[in-house]
Amino acid sequence: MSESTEKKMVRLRSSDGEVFEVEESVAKVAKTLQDMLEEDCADAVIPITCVRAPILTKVIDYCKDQVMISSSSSTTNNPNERTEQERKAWGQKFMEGVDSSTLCELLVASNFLNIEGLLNLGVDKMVSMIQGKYPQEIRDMFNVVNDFTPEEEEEIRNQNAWAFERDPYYKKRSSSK
Amino acid sequence: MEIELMDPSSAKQDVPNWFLPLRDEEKMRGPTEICDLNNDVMTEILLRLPLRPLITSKCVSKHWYGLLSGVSIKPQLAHTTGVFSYDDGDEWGYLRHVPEADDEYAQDVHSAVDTALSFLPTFPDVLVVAGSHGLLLATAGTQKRGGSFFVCNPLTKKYREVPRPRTARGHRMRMHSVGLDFNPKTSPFFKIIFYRHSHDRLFRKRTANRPLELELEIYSSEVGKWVNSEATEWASASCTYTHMVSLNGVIYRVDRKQQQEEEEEEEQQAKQKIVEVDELRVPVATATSSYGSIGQAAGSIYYAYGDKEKSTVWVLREEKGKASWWELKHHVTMSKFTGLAERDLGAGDWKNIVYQPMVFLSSHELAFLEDSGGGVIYDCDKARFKRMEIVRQHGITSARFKAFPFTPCLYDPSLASAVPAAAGASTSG
Repeated sequence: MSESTEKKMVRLRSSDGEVFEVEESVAKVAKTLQDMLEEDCADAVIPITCVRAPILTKVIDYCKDQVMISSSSSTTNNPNERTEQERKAWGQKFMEGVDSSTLCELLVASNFLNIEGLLNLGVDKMVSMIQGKYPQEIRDMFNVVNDFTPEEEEEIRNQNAWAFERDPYYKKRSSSK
Repeated sequence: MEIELMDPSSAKQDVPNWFLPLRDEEKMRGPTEICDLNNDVMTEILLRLPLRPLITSKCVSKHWYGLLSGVSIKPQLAHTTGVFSYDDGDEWGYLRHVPEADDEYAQDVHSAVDTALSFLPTFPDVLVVAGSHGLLLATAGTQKRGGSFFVCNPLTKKYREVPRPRTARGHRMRMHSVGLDFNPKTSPFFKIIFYRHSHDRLFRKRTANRPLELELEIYSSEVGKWVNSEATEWASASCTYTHMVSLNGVIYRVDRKQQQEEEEEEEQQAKQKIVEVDELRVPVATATSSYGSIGQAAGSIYYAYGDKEKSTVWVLREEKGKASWWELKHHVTMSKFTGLAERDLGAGDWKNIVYQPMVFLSSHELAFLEDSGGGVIYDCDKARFKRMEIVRQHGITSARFKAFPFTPCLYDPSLASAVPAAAGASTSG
């Protein structure tokens, strides 16, 4: 950002009442906020009713980073520009240590604020958490109630018995038979 | 057993109104849970899972089961894993799913798919005649002429029986006389298209001097019956060859015309939506003794053309409001091609390669070619050949085989007409 333009600030209020002041460019990473700001219907504090302060902090961190990457991308030899690998590593680091409930909140927030990149990171993180777990482990992790009867669950398992085998490369039948 | 499904639309997915002031009950609410995610996000997560955890997630809860069972949405696995190859030696079908990559996903699909289609009632008498996305069109082979068609999903092991059209009874089905049109991304229904043209044995009115006539019978799972189209005069009498494929409700057809006096052949392609006919020129004018073929795989139409000098593949690109155009995906000269084949397949083992792919997967730049040893896969991107492993069963020794594109999906064809059209349109944010 060049020094000559005055940075316009935007204020966001989280669901628990904390107010964050960010540059307009940072807020605009969120498509939902961008639309609002362009329609000029947000000069007071913007309430973000479904996002708590710790989550909003994380979201703002993400947006700031996006601004940092994109603002200097017009110049040649951008020191902030990332290769595909670096972007991946950065995303992993950003999501490191995020627990399941924080992750759900992040997903709700990024979906609501329409931040595609963050949503993608969250979805990937979620995928990595679900992978390799038994259904019961998934239920425990995300507090999902099992509303199947034991018979119903058995039926689904039987229909796809191969998928419930421990050995990932279990072959269901020999081709010689 | 019927599993009562939770209607995902009734699940909480209301986006809080942006302009509403902060409500106390929202402050009081417990921690955000996975069930607070709306169905779009949830579906996105589930469909990014590899196949095995995706299947096991079905039994987490009824809501998850509903998201994955194809009742309210049409889950489409994001990857194309390869082709089904089909060996028709002794007019007996055998199917094998060919994973194109040795990754875990392909292995999972491989162990999930019933390659022999043993769930069909006529098994082991099964002849595969067409394939589109995750569905295959099969029918009983030689023993039961006039038997039903089966539209089946070898992944979910579900099928739907469709009686043959009256005019097709008593005849052996051939590839290219019947097509399957299914694309879960654009429609929750499938169509079976049965082509008969006057140069076909099936067309009773065959006479040498008549123009080529074509009759179509179309079965749509939306309507649940066959609809016959009037015989149409499609092309002039000089048209000697026609080849059709359908995708997204459009039939693409390649005609080959022969003008005796000039010894030149001309191809043109027409796409028709039953009534309207658009002409679209194919990318190459063909030389004598060779012709191009048209096909579909993974949602694209491709045109392949090979002659003594080169092998080329184009993919049809279409955008709204723009004229369609052909994108050249692959071009290789014969001398280079044979050199590569010799290097990768060993001398002499590739002699009868047919340079026109049976299936071209544009998403992976893979061409599946037929040769005397069964089949070879040509990786257009890496310029590498690989022999397709074909397991021979039931004493089949014939080398001839056909391949069908296969993009695994969780669609259940037996539900097809029960799926309301509106439910198929999942909203995307």
